[in-house]
Amino acid sequence: MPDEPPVPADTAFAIRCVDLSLTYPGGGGISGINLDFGSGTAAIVGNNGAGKSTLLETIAGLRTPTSGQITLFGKSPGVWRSMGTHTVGVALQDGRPYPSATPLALLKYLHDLYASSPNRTMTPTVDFLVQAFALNTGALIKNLSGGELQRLKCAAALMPGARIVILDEPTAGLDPQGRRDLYAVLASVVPAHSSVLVSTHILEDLESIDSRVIALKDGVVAYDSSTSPTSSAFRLTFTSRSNLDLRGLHDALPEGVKILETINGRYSITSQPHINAAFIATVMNFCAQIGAEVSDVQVRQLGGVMEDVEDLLLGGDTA
Amino acid sequence: MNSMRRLLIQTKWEFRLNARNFEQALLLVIIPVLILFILTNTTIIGGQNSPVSLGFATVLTVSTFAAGFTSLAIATAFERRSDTLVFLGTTSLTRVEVVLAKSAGSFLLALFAGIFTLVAALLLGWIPATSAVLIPISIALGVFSISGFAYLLAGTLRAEAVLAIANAVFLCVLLLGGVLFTFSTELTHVLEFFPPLALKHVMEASIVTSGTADASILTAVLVLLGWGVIGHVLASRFFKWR
Repeated sequence: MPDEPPVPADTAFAIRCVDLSLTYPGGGGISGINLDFGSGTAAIVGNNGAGKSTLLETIAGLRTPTSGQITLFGKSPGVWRSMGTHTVGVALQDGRPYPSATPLALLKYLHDLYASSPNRTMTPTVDFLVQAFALNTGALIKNLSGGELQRLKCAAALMPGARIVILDEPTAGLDPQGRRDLYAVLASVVPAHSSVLVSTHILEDLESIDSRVIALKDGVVAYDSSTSPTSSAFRLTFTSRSNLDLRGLHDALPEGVKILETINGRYSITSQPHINAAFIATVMNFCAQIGAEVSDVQVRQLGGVMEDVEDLLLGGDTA
Repeated sequence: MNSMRRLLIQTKWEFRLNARNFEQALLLVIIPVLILFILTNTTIIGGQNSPVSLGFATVLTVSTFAAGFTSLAIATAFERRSDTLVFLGTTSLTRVEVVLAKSAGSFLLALFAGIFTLVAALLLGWIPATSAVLIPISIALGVFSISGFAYLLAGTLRAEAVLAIANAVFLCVLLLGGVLFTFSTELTHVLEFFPPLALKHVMEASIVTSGTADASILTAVLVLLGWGVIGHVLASRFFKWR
């Protein structure tokens, strides 16, 4: 029997989601996702429950979409699987696979398993992954620390040598240094031309990932750095008592202004047009009218993906 | 071809994981050998044939249940809890391959236990007949008849509940299934339609009666196949992977 057909060389759309939806009986999930991924890294950010895991697991073929389509190199994950071709390496967020085995035994077994895969030339060696991720090979998997387990899962995701690598919250539970180290290892180990999707709910992680950024919110794509223009917005922040009723302020300010209470008593007003003296005066006057004392007023210009995303994610509780 | 290769690697891995487990060794080797020793040196079981061969058939039934039901259910339940089953979903294995490898691993485990008890039986004076070559087939049939129910249990309940229930069922099989004790004729006729006694009859056919197939053995084989189909159909309908 001849080898199965290799994964096509065309990486223009390694991953294509067309109107992809997966809803759960109890609510949540994703809806109407339209995303294309070529080679390179994309970070999926969003709060817990934003639909990151659902999206990644659907792309990996672990969940069946309610509607819409997911294709990897032009074929659905199920078709690839039935052909015996391994297209995706996955590190799942939850779970501690084979707790009574050692990491070394697990990786050797996975290596054997993937050695029959058509893309075997790309399969890394066990030694390479053990070294790269500085794995604790002797201990049982059930005794690994959070960081050790995350690194093992990442190594396992790279073992198939698949063209698509999906890492769901690989930095969950790590300290800042551990998170930076893991991203550094991933950047050096993941083969060029792979398509890598990595999710995180920690915005600081974006400083360590030089990549396209996609923000999910309530199951929909709220921001995509490849299509959404980076805003040159301005933001005015001030402190007052909590739960101010600022609804009337919208009418007094230019259109498109976003007002929200980010934390108790801290308010953020974001505007695309420049925030000038007249703008500030309008806000201060309004606060004075409703009897709110205002302190710590700051105005700054936003820049870069991270602040745009931060803006979106914090925008949940509009005041 | 690749599917066969994956199946072999996965079966080897499943067997290795299980065989290293101390509780498994207790359940599969030490308990059966102890039972064999007790059966052949006391008068719980009478009968026309030699007590060692009868005891050997009984004990093989016990270890097949331990591997094909209790061990399999508990291991699968804990793999489900640790999301190991979902992890397997991220590999190149299909679901059918995962299940086949698990059942094959259980079969190897029962066979492995059988070799220990076989040695013990030989030491106790059992003289094998040529029909002993049917023993592996009888073990495979036994595993098939009950593994579906192991998956059904493991795939629907919490791991702790599975641990308790699988062990309780094992004890019921030993004490009430007609395996260790012979009940009244009426009750025995009922028990013959359940896997424990049916499997014991099949084992006895390959060990004691030199493989003579009469109608009652054919019935026992059909009973085992029937339960196997029912169990696997129910499991495929209700099994939750996470």
